Amino acid sequence: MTWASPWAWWGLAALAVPIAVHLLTRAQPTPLPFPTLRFLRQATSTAVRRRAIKERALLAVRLGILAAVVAALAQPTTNRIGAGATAPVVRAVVLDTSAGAPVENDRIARLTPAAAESVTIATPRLAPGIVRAANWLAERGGRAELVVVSAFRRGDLEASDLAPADRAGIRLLKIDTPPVAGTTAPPQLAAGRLWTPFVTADAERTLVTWTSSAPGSAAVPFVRVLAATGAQDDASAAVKAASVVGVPAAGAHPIAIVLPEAPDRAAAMASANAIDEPWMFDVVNALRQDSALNGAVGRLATVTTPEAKPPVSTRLGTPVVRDATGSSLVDAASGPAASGRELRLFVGTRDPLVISALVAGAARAERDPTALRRLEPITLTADELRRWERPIPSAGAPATAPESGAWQGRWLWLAALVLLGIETWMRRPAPASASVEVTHARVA
Amino acid sequence: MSVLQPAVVASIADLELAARLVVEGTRAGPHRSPFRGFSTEFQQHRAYRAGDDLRHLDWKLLGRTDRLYTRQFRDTTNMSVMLVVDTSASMGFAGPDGVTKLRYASVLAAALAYLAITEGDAAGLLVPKMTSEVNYFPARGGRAHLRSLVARLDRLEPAGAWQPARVIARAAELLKRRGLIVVLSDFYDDEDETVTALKRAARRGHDVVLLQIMTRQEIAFDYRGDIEFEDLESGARRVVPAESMAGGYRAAVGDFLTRWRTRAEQHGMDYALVPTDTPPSRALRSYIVKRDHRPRALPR
Repeated sequence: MTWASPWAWWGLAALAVPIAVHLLTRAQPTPLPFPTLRFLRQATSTAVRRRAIKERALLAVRLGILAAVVAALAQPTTNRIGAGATAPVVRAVVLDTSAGAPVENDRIARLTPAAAESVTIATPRLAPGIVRAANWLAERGGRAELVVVSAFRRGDLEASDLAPADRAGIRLLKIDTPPVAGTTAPPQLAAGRLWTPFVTADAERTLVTWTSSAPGSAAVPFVRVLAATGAQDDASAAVKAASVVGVPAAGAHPIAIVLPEAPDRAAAMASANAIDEPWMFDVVNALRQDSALNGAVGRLATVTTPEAKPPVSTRLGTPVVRDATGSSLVDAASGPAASGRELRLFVGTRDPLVISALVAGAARAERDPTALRRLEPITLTADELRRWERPIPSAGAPATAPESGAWQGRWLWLAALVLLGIETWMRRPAPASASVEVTHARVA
Repeated sequence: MSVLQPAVVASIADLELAARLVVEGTRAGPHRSPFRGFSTEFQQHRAYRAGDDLRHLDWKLLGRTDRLYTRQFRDTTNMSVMLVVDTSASMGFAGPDGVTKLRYASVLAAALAYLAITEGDAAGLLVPKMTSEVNYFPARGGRAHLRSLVARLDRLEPAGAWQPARVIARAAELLKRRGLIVVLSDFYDDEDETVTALKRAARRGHDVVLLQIMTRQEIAFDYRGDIEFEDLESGARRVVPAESMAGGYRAAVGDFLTRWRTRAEQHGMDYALVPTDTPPSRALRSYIVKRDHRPRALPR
C-alpha cells in the first residue's frame, strides 16, 4: 500500500484533541449538597464502572474516526489485484540521471518497498532505460513492477515510452530538482569561428546568447581521423563538413575514426579491446539510430558500385552499421588514449558521405543530451503521471489500468462515517427511567 | 378553591397566616375533622391492635367473622394531636423553588395545628434538639397556644442529625391520653428503630400518621453531568456521574418509599408521601379526604 499524500499523516496530531477533552472534562465536578448519600452509594459503583467503560469506548471510537479520516486524506492506493497478488515482486527502477541533482539511494529505497529482486538502471534518457528495464523484467517473469524516478520534465516521458513494460505495474515517482539558470549548448562552426550558445529558459520564453571564439581556433579536438596519406584531404573535408552541424562541448570523450588503409590501422586494431565503458555503448547506440548515417549507408548500397571493402575488425569489434548484404561496415572497439581510453570506430569504406555522417553522428552522440533538457521549467502534473500508473498485476496476468487509486480511501471514508454513527449512538441521552410514581394521596 | 403554590405559602412570613390560608384552601367542601377519637358517634372499624380498649372491641363482629375489630368513633371531645417535626440537616434540602423540606413541613404542621385547634382539639409540638433532647410544647387548645406553637415552628432551623426513635417514643409518653401522633420527616435516619418506636406508640393506643416530606429532586434525580454530592448531615462527599447512575438511584429510592408505605399499612398507620412541589392545601385536603373516606365496610 502506498500513500499519495503522506503529509496528511501529520493530521494524526489531532488525536490529541479528544484525549485532551477526555482528560479535561473529568475534572471539576459540580458540588451540590444533598440530603443523603445512602441511595447514591448503592447505585454508584456499577454506574461509575459502566460509565468508565462507556467513556473509554467512546474515546476509542472518536480516535478511530480521526484516524480513518487522516488515513483517507493520505489517499491510500494498493497494488493488490487478483489471487496472485501475494506473489513476490520483481522491480526495475529507472533512474533519470538528467535530473540535475543526485537522488539518494535511501530515498529510492524509502519510495520503493522491498522486492524479491530489483535492479536500478541509471540513464539520462528514460525511453531506452525503460526498454532495458522491460527486457530485464521480462527475463525474470512473475509480478513485475517498473518504477521510474525522474523530475518528469515535459518531453522526458511519453505514454508510448511505457509500452514496452505492458506486463508490469508502473509507478512514477516524481522528484524535485533545483532550478537551472542556464546552460551551454554544443558549439557550432560558422564563418571560421566556433560559436558557443548559452541558453536560458523560463515558462514564457527561451533566450540563446552566442559567444564566438577567436578566428582560426575552430577545431574538433575529440575526433581523430586516421586516414591513408592520399585520403587525408577527404578526411579533413569530412570532419569540417560534420563540424558545421555542431561539435561536442569541451570535455567530450575521445573518439578515433580509423579509415581503410590508414597506416596506423593495424597497430590501432592490435591494441583494441571490446568496448567496456558506458559512454561507449551510448555512442554506439546513438550511431545505430542515427538517421544521417543510416541514410548514407543505404545510399552507398544503391548508387555506388560495390568496391572491394577492406576487412573490418571482427575479432573484438561491435558492429555499428551494416551494409545491404548484412556485413558490418563500421566496427566499434576501445583502445588506450593519451588520457584514459578512446572509442575506435573501424570503417570499411572510403565513401566520404559515410565518413562525414559518421563524424557528425559521433559528434551528436557525444553531446550532453541532458544539458538543454534541464532547462525545461514545465513538468508533468501529478494527474498526468497517475493516469500512466497502474498496479502490479497478478502473476501471469497482464497489467490493467487502475480504475482509481483511491478505492481504499473510499472504504476509509465509509469506516469514518460508520464510526461517526456509532459515536452518535453512544452519545445518545440515557433513556429516562420510569419515574417513581408517588403522590401525596397514598394514604393507607 | 385557591391553591397556593408551595413557594408562595413558604414565603409568607407570618406562618399562622400561611397555615390559615392552607386550611381555608381545604374547606371547599363539607369535610369532617380528620381527627378521630373514641366517642359515641361510630365512624368505622379498624383491625384490633394490642392495647385497644376491649370496650370498643366489636363482639358481634367477632362472633360472625371470628376476627378482631375495634370500633372507632368520631371524637367529639378534645383530641390531642402531637406534631413531631424532623429538624435534621437533611430537612434543609430545598427544591428548585427554594422551599426547604423543613419549611414545607412547618407550614403543613402549622396548618394541622390550626385545623385541630379551630376544631376544638389540642395540638402540641415535639422537635429534636442538638443534644439528643427534645423541645416539648404540650398539647393544648386556644388561639394563644396556637400562636405560640406556630411561632415555635417558625423558628425551626435544620441542623445535625436526629434520633427519630427516641423522639417518637417521647411523644408517645408525653401524650397523656390516647391521641394522634403526626410525624413529618423524610425518614432517612434509623429506619428500623423508627418503625419499632412507631409500632410501640400505636400499641399504646395512639393513632399514628406518617407524612414523608421529599423534594421532587430526591425522587426523580434528574441531574446531569458529574456532580460532587455532599451529605447534608455527615458532610461526606461523593463524585458521581449523575446520568449514568440515575436509574440505580431511582430504583433504590423507589424501594425505600415502597418499604415505608408497606410498613405503615402493615401496622395500621396512616402514611402519605408529600413532595414539596405539591401545594400544601392540596396535600392537606387530599389527606383529609382519604381519612374521611376510609372504608366503613368490614375488611375481610
